[in-house]
Amino acid sequence: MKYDVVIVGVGLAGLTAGLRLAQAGKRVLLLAKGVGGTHLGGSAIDVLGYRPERVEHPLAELPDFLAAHQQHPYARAGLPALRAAADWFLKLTEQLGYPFTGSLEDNYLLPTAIGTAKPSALVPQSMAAGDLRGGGQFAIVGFRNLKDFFPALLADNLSRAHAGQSDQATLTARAELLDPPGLTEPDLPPLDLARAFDRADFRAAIAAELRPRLKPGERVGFPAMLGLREPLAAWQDLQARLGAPVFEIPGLPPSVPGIRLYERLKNALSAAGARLQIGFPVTEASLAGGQCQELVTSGASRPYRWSGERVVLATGGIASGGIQTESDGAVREPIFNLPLAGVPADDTPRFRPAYFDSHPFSQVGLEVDGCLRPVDAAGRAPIANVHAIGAMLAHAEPWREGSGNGISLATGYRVSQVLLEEKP
Amino acid sequence: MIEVDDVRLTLDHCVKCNICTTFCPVANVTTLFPGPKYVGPQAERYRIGDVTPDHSLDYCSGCGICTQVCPQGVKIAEINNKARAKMVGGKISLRNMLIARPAMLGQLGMPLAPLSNFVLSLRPVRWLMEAVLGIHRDAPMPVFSWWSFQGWARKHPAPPQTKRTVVYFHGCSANYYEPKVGQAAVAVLERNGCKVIIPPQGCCGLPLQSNGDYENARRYAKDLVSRLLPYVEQGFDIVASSTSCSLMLKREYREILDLDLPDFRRVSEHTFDICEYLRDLYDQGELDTHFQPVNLAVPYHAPCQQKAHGMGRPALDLLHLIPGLQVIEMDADCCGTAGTYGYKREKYDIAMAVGAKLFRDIQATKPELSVCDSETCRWQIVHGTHLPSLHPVELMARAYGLPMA
Repeated sequence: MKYDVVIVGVGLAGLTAGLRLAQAGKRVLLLAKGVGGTHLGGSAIDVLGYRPERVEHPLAELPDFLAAHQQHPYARAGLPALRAAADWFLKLTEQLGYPFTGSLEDNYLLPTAIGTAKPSALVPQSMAAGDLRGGGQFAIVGFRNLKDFFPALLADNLSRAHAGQSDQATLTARAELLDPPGLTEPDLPPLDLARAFDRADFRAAIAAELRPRLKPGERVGFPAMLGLREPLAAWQDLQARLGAPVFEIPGLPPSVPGIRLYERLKNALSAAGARLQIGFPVTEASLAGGQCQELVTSGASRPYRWSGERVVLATGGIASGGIQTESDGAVREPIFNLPLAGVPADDTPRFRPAYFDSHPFSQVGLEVDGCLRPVDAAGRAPIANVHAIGAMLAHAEPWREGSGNGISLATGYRVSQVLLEEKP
Repeated sequence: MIEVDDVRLTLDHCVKCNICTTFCPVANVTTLFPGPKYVGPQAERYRIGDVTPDHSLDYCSGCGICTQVCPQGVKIAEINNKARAKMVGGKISLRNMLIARPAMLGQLGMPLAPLSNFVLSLRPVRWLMEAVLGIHRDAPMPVFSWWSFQGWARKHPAPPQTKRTVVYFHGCSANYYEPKVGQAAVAVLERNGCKVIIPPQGCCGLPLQSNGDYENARRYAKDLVSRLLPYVEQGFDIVASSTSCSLMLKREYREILDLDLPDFRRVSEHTFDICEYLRDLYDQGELDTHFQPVNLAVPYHAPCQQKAHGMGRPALDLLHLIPGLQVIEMDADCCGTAGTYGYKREKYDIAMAVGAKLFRDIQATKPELSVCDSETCRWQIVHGTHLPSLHPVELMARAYGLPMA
């Protein structure tokens, strides 16, 4: 069976590229070793959060940022593609019933599960009321048997972090702890709580308990588990029942917002005629005439071969195995053995002493050309029909820049433009 | 040859991301099962000898979805399967001994088929079976055929001209319960120039393996491999119509039952799912694609064990070749029954809750019938949707205009 495009990886980058291509009528196959990054992160689209001081207006600062980072994945995708991708994503999530909100002009400043503040450009609508800019009064709600979310820690840290910033409006935060009615497991799984919030009776019971305890003017933060199947309706209903703005705070994996997004993107892909095969680790590729002919996956007793006119590699960075590291420090891209950029020279340090420093090793990845094809040091693409997107691209530090999902969205969108021969 | 993993060693790759738990169909409907991460890589660290932290492992249905979605390559379902066998420790209940022997039940029930089916359809009998044996009164037990596929095959004349020879592994279900699936398989293979050899064959042992009886599963496995090996040595391929049974031949004998021996490897290398085999013919330009239009919209469910073959969706690839046929792949992961799991009194409700989404989605397409590669899944889907469910080759036989379909 021959496909127009075979995409390897089902994180946000692969899903974005796959969906745009399938919706444009391409025959698309997505292969993945397992389920990807959507289930791990908070699902907000961070575009540019720090450089290194906090960024309030990403679009305004991106030209300067790119001038200073000319090899950055954003520079390869181009600003027009990033803007188009953001518009597309906002429209798409609206259509899929899980609307995101925001823009590239302004960053939200949203609380994390430990009460730090994180800048994000596009966020699920149900998170937006957590915006800390301008201060406010916050009630953070936790559940006694939900072990990975501590409202007191969150509220204290929010208050404390804000106390030092005298130039900003006042912010108060306090904690509320509830017993979720009917959920008596000693260690409550996040999905059980999310499914309970899909039920109107559960939301009613929570609201009845909580509403009398709220103070006038408070905004109410919950762990991001307000519904799994119909999160928009669940959030709106809870807000109405509490008579106060409600917002979700993402936390540890598994990420309920990520699951909502993944399920919807997966169904949209399927509706657009794409084939999604999970549990298909690509082990090698066959090449001929400078082109990838086939990707090979291992089955139960024999290898299987998948061929596409074009191949899009979206297997992630070091954390996802898209780039492999050996115990002696050697790094390689395991499918094509593509040239890697940013590898520190043998006699230079790979890591700096402090955890949050800029580590030379962390920028290792694939260098790509304007068509997002991996290139060698001389700028030549060794395999003409292979493209690479997402976290495996070199010269980015998503955790320091606050750019992770932004890079995946922009490059996933851009590669679809390249393959559809659309103008940037 | 794809080598098998040392199942237990893969647990060190677990990063505790919990992706498996979010996909586990059982953990998603009951709190009795804490999820694959917990009973798999987590609890396995504490299993020494026959000691196990708790018995919630018994609620794993063995569907294997956890292994498929794991981004780190942990063999979660396989860890659980082996741990269950240790936990059972050879002490198999009468119920599990019975439901794990479909061939024996077939040999008992089929000769008296009208009577045995009638008796098994009586509510008081099913109540009694539930009370005495623990087989749920509503579980979709298969209906005995009045005649065996083997009996039919012995009288079936070989086509005069053939291009290739294959061995058909029909398994218990086609022999005792659904001989029409076997007939369709033979007809479609013969239509494509195959001489089909149907040797005497026993059960693959999967139900025994799933119920933790490895000793008897290995006995069945050795018997089956010894029957198939002579044909493999002549260079013939084995083609199977049950994706669960063929997965045993391909990988599970080697990986779960630790029978990674030369004879097993040879049989493994030569075993094909029937849709996989036919898709290979298509890829080589050898498949007869003269299909008559079948003007139907049919929902297709890829069974969990089918997905574990790692071969993609050959049934979909083939059915797409039939003009007029619109095939809708279902998004639900599991039908719930997982072989014999859904028959059990304490698990029937879980199995039905797992399958509920699939049943709903199938019914929402308002189809005449559904399509699925595995027999116990088809029986469960029929039970849950009240609609017929066919093997993909039955639909192909119909599109070829072959008489038995």
